[in-house]
Amino acid sequence: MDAPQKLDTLQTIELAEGVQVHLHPAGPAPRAIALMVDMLLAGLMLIGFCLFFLFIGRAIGFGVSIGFVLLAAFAIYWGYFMLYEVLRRGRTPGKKWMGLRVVRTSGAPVGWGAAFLRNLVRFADMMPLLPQWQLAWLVFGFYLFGVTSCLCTRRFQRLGDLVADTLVIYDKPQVEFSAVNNVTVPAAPPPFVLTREEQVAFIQFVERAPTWSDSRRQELVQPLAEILGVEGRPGVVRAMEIGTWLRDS
Amino acid sequence: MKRADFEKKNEPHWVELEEAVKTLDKRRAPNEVARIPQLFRQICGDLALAQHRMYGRKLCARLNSIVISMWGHLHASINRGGSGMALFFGRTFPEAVRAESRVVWLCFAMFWLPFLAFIATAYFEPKWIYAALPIEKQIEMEASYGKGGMSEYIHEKFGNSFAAMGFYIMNNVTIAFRSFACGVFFGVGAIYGLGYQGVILGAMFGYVHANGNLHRLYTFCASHSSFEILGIILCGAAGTVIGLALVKPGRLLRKDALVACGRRALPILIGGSLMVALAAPIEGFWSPSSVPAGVKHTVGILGWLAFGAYFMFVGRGRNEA
Repeated sequence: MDAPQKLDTLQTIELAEGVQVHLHPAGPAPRAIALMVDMLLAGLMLIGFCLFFLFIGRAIGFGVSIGFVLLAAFAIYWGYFMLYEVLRRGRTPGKKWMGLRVVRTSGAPVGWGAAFLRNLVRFADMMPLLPQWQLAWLVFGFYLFGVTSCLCTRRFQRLGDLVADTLVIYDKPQVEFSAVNNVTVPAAPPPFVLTREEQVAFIQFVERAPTWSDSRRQELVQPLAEILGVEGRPGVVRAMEIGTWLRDS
Repeated sequence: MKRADFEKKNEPHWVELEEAVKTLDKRRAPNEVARIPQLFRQICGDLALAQHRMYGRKLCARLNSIVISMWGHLHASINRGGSGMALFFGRTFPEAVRAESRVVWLCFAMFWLPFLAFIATAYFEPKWIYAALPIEKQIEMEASYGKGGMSEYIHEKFGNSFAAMGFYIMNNVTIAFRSFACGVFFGVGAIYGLGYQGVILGAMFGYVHANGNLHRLYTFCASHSSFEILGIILCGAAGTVIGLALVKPGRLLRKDALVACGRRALPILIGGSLMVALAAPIEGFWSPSSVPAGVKHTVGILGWLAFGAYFMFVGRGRNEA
């Protein structure tokens, strides 16, 4: 399975159990959406705490409730991501919603140490900051360093991920199998012996064909025209037959 | 074996394991825990077979997902609770600080040199202090520690000790966390952060040296000074350790050096930020209290001596595996 690894971003990890698993790192875009959901939620939490302490301020004194509000703001700002990532096994509400999860590069769930590191370095990732949006000590930023770092690393790691040795992956396999996939093509053996990589290519062609347009399929089998002896739509059918035969027998 | 037969034969095991993962995700214990290791080994074998026999991405992706989730549950780290804390403070923390003693001393100097320099300028060239200190800070210092100063301005502002403590935790721990985070920029951020704190605090103290009530200032600051200053210096040092991984990775790749140094910096960071956080209740409740000045000064000096001894001597020698 060497050939596909050069094309996609899958990370292969060998477990102690002697099997290779694949992690599918998530890029900056879904992570940014997850982040916005999380920030919204954290903001709502903070507002909730403020109202709560304002309400009970009558009983405990408003001075004391200001103290609680400050502590709550501090805890939410620095603790929201860390607590969720550790206690919910790598998934903040935003990440859960987007189907993402934080794991160590080994695939294991993040612990306290890794979560602490990656979420403190978040402050460096979010630079340049937005000073005019700041709410007392809580500043937010453009995540320019984080995005740049994501785009420059093979596993889409921001600076915090690099320090803590973590990455954000898609939680569930992101493979789309449409109903068209079940269209049966009669299986037919290939006219010659194929190497392993070539077999993989045919099988993946069968699996992915339903997600492409017809002209794209024909374009992909074009280089095989000479070997298969047919091109265009018949060429696609021939390739599908070979792929089905390889997969099911 | 054909793919269909393979799926038909093993489907019950996979479904059972999938159910177990779902139950564990909900933080409940699955029905037959004892069967899980066996099923897990079996599914690992199935995945390897499916990959080798090229049973297709759909099947492989499904098995892959089950294996990763189950592996995560099997390898989740266990919280050691109290004994872990004792081990941390009795050994890990001071040892980590000693291991990075050169960086810690550098950060120590980066804070104290500007601080002492600004106190010295109070006696030679006070203009420097007025240039370095924003006018609002000068007003605050004048109000708190001027010749006719009344009380500490944070306490004045919030009106009670608890709110002041909340403010100190938020302000000081945030400063410590930030100087750590900025260390990732080749260590520059952390060292700059410490130097900046040294300049500002030095100018504040220098201001009082030049024209204020020194006794009140030192009586207020003595008790919590060791926790707060050392904590901030240690957090900055942890950031510098990470930055140095990029500057001087040694024989490792920069990305591997970053991970290795992150591990070395973590205990220093945790310990340092806990020290800063501990300083806040002292600063909020004890420091402004009416305890006699002599006691506060003694506590302050003892604090510095105790931390010095702690970092030099605690956790040495015992080399249990």
